[in-house]
Amino acid sequence: MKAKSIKGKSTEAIEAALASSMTDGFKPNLAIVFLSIKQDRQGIVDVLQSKGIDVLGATSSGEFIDGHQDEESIAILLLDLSPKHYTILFEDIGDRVLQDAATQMARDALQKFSNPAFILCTTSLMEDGGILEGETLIRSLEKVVGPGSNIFGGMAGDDLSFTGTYVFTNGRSTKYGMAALLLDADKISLQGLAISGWKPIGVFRTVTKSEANLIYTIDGKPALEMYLRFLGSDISQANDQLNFFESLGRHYPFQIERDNREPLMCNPMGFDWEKGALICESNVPQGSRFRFSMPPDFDIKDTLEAKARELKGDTDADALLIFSCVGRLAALGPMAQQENEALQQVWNVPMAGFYCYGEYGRAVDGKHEFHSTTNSWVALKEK
Amino acid sequence: MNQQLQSVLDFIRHNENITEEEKNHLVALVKKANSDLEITEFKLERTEKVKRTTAILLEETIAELEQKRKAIEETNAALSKSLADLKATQAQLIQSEKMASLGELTAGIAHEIQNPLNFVNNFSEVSNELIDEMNEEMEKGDLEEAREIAADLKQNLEKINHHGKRADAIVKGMLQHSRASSGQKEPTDLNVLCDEYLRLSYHGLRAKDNAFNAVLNTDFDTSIGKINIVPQDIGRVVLNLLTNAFYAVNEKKKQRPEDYEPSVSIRTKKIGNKVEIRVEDNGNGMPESVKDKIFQPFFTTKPTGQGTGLGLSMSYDIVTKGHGGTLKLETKNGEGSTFIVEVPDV
Ligand SMILES: Nc1ncnc2c1ncn2[C@@H]1O[C@H](COP(=O)(O)OP(=O)(O)OP(=O)(O)O)[C@@H](O)[C@H]1O
Ligand SMILES: [Mg+2]
Repeated sequence: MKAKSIKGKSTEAIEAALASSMTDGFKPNLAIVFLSIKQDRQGIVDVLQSKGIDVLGATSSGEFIDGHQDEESIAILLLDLSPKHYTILFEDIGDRVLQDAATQMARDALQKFSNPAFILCTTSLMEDGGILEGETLIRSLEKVVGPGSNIFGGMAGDDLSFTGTYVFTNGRSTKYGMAALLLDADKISLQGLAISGWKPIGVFRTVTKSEANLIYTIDGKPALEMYLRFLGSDISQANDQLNFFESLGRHYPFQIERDNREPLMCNPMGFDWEKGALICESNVPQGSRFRFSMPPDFDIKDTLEAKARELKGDTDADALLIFSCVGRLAALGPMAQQENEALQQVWNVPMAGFYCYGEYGRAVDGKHEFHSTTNSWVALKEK
Repeated sequence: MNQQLQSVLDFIRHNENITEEEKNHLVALVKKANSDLEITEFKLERTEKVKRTTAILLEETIAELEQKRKAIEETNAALSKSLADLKATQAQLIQSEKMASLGELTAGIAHEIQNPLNFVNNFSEVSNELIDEMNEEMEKGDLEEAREIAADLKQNLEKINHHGKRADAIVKGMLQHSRASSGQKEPTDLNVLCDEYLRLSYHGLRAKDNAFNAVLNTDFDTSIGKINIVPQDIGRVVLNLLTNAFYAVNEKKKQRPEDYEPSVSIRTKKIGNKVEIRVEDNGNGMPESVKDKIFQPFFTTKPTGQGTGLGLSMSYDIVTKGHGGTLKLETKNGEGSTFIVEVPDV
């Protein structure tokens, strides 16, 4: 597999970058595209398609490649990979339940490869203000393809405008669905890890009343009021949603206890002023136990780097993808980019990635999960 | 970019005295400095923010814990009240247990009083006749004879008085048993106390079930003399142990009517500056599982309604807490038990 990463702030810029990447005889047939909703998705797909390139794409909330990070831009990882080793899968969920669409995708995957691996991009924002149930999605895929399978990826973003997120391939695009680059894991090896770094603080609390992704009461007290009071927020208006997410929600997620697994990070996305409820990114069952959490320490980059080196050992790779939570950008500022750069330097291969609204990836305990707040990366290597 | 650094950068770029290579190097350095500065600024800002939030979060958590502490305190108070209520109830129960054991004693007491009463009745009847005889002798003028009869009369009256006092003592003892313990230690003849309760409890049982018979053995160490104890309390201990022993042998007798001879012994012994009371029976003894629990309040193997299971737990408290002594048990399942009370002689 050969790889190159390109970037640009317009379709023309990408067209030029693509052309120049091919001057040395590089002939990519696959592109993993992360771009702002402000960019011309169709235009980009057309440019790539005209060169016979297959596309897996997702909208984003900040894009980066090795040595460069930008907003409202386009980042692309170009690959020259034998078509025998991959395929692109696409599911528009439409009127189906998530489980059905996921099961369909998993079955198609098994049809294609007996040992499939997913680079998975899904939409995130739902009509009701919540986020696609990533956890349910992973469990549904796992049920068909088995719990050991590799699933890495991210949930699409929309520059924090909360107007809609998209995934797309050649000729298809959806606001509610999933697209995957399906790899033959017998031919391509994948190594990766998702690390959060958010630290629990304070006592364990219990969700005493909730409904889907709405939390009404915590330890018997009104949830919204408690969250605001505990984090010392001065939000006092129903229409402060964006301010809420920017200044609180994405910095201070809950760490929800899970049996035999790492805690699930869950960011409050907004609130329902009338009901005094918090709107969370995922469903929070009544009775869940959780702790507040604080953003990572400044040395999180070193931790990430050390873990990556440990995992890498003396293997190498052809390309690197990074799915970093948009919350990291807020909590780590310029250090979020440093983190990505450090990972790229560990592997020293072309890299592309984006700031997303949720991550798929391998947890430290080895299980493939849906995450939040993490930096989830995966290094690809043709065997 | 930082304004000052921007000026430096502009200066470098427009300076003609530096080579292109040097320029590039310097520009890179300034850019690096700028990015370091940006990161430092960010870190500072975030540290401030997180510090503030942490402070509030901890403050709120502390306030919340304080509330929980108060709630726990209230629960605690409520629990203490329940405990006090429970203790009061327990005290009442103990009192009713005393009354119940008094009931058991009544038959024995009646039996014990009957003896002196018989003496009193017999001797007073005989004395009545003797007075008639004496009058006759005096009319006859046989003063010698009259004096002899008067001497007999005096003897009889002394006997009547003796048995009257005996009955009096029994009644007093009974009253003492039912009264709440004074808690006062007083010099007490332990052997007399043991002997009295042995007879009372044995006859008590026989009065209820006259088919019951047991060999009673006593072995009292006369060198003990009077020791300082709370007589009502030690009396209750002895009574409890004996009642249990009789109950045990009686049960065994019911199981094996032919080849079993029930026997209960009570022994006292002075050992150094301690005094020991041993109550031994050849009943069925106890298995380990029972042995472990017998000193727990309300533990009983008697059929429901027949035992409160307070006997041994109260005895234990009286001996250990009340007298600084020990209450031990030796038992062999199927062969019998010996309870050993040891109290210091002070
Ligand atoms: N001498 C003994 N032989 C065999 N078991 C005994 C003997 N003494 C006590 N126990 C066992 O210990 C239990 C507890 O005795 P305790 O005197 O505390 O209560 P109780 O005799 O059952 O009831 P209560 O004394 O209120 O009539 C008895 O039920 C019996 O199982
Ligand atoms: Mg008893």
